Amino acid sequence: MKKTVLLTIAVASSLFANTPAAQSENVKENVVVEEKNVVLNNNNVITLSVIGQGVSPEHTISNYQALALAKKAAIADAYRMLAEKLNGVKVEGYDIVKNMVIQRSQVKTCVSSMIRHANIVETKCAKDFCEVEMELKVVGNKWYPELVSSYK
Amino acid sequence: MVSRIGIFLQITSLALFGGDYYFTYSLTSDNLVVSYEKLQISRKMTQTSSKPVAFFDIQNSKKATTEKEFVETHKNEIVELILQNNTTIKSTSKIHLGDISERSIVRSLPTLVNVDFKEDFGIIGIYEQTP
Repeated sequence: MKKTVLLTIAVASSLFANTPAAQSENVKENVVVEEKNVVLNNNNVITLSVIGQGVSPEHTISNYQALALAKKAAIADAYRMLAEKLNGVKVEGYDIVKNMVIQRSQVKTCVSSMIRHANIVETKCAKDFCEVEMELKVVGNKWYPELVSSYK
Repeated sequence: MVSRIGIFLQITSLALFGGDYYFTYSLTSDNLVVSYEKLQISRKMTQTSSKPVAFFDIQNSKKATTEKEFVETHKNEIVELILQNNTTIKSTSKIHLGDISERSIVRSLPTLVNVDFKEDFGIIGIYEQTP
């Protein structure tokens, strides 16, 4: 008797586990696990990592100056990318259509931010080109409330 | 008497712990190429009551003999440290008929930096910025 009761419970539980509701719960759990390391919340710390690129100007006094300027341009590019990730980008676009034909099409983007405590991890320089890898640690319990309030 | 002691202490602290400098930096890059750069260094002429919040050391690789020379020869490294501490970035890009033009402006507000010059290296102390 006990065996039959246990068997029916096992069959019922297996049937319930395969219902769409249970499947969606499993999927949700998986999604949460996947996003756990990416999404900032009140309790975690995420590291934003970007690679900025810079090119040396045409007219420079020496190779050293060219590389130094390329590195500075790469740093500026890396800061821009960090700002994009942190605060988002303001995008503005407009098209002028005349007689069903596009006359002018323009997209403008704007990023503005203040960044503190970003670290340069690695710098790679070639002949007239430089790459700078930059990292920024974002502490959730400090920045999550502020970033959420800025989007409201 | 007190004022004499105060002056003596001030001179001694300057000699022992180096001088304070204001660094103001701005860099503009157009299409990933630097087009404009400006760095202003100014020595602080009054006493500082607060203490630096972050310290870094820079090797005296260019064999500077005085503090002023050290600041002059290692200004790029000091600017890099200041930028890591606090940077303002403003970037705009325009796409018109498939042609992209981009401009980024990196700026650092006047930052007070303490430079403590030793023979082989220098200790850079960065003060907290006041808004």
